[in-house]
Amino acid sequence: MDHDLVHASDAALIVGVGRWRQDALAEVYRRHAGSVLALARRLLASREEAEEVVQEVFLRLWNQPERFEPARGSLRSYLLAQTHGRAIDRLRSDTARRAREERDARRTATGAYDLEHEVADLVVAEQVRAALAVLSDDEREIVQLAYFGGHTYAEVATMLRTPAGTVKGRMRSALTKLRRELLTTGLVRP
Amino acid sequence: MNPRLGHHEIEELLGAYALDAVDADEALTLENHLRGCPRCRAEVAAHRETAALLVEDRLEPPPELWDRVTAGMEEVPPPIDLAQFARAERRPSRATPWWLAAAAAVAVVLGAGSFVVQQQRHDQLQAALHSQEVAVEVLAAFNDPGARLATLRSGDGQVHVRAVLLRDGTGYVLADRLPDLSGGRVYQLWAMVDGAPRSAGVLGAEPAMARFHASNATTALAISIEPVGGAEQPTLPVLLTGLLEA
Ligand SMILES: [Zn+2]
Repeated sequence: MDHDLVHASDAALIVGVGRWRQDALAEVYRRHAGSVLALARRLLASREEAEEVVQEVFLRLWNQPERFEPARGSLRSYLLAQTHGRAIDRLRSDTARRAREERDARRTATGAYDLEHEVADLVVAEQVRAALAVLSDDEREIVQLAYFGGHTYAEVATMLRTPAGTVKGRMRSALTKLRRELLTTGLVRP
Repeated sequence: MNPRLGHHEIEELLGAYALDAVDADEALTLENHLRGCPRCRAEVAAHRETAALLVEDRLEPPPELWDRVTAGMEEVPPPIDLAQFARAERRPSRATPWWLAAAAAVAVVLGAGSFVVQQQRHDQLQAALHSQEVAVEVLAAFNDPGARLATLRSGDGQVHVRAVLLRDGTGYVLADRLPDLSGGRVYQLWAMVDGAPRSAGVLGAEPAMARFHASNATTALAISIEPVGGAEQPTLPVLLTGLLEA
């Protein structure tokens, strides 16, 4: 692996991808494919489908790198938003919906991942867990049912027997609260 | 859904939209609005950044998946506007949280040397020292030239846990890859000394990054699952084992 690429910023990697440098995409993949696959697998029952989503997300980045705007957020959150959207599209098709009922929680480990990032992940996870504590149980559940369960706010409202308008509002207020909390840790920037 | 929603109603939907939790009609309405409203666009981006932080696990992609990505790359992609990125490139990197960059800087100061220091501003360094002491310690430990490293693996090779033991007997284990336990069980760490396991501490039911102490004569580390409170001897089979580098 090219040493410069390993330490390149997101924006610099995207410049590389824009210049059709496959090694730049490979570095993006090395950094983020694990999270992309983990999110896709949490939403989709089929391993094959989840891997297809990973493939689509990275091919799209290759073909349309200009869609990522560094000023708007990190490359990681961009890729995860893409992944979430694509997985949800599949999930809301009828066949996938049936399979979802049989889905269970999965966790596995990763091997090839550098230490610097591994330690960062741990600290981030710890701070995110701490930040989640500012949410009420309701708010936490609502965010998780939507984000990891792939449910619409209307579905969540039915599941929790709460008015849809309340759920919709709590999704927004919960994300806002969480962000405010994470701002104090430096994990997100104003 | 009425496409002529008021701005307040649009705003109320932004959280749900960012989580892909709106129906197709609402999504269309939102997208039309977002094209013309930078303020709502920024809010959605912020919500997505926040949501992405909730993804804390990683799955190792199967090796052939990258081949499938490259197989789809045969066509030459269309040229893009590079000027936009050339400008963006000069912005500070968001890839690494500032405190981690600062932590890496500390690791360099401590004699580690293998991290690229992206930002070394003094105030950041001070803040990192204050709030990220453990991360700094761990990074420094793994980069200590006298450190002995170990990778503990599960029998099926699926789970890897990294550990380091310093000359003074201080060790660190990055145990977050282990699945959470329930039902009154915890992970326990063992140091193998003269062929016999000695407890190096209980890692808990939801292990993360832990500091431990073990004898210099330790040859290997192991992790087992035990009842809350830990055990005197590891329950067999031991879940993960790894040799310490000589
Ligand atoms: Zn607006």
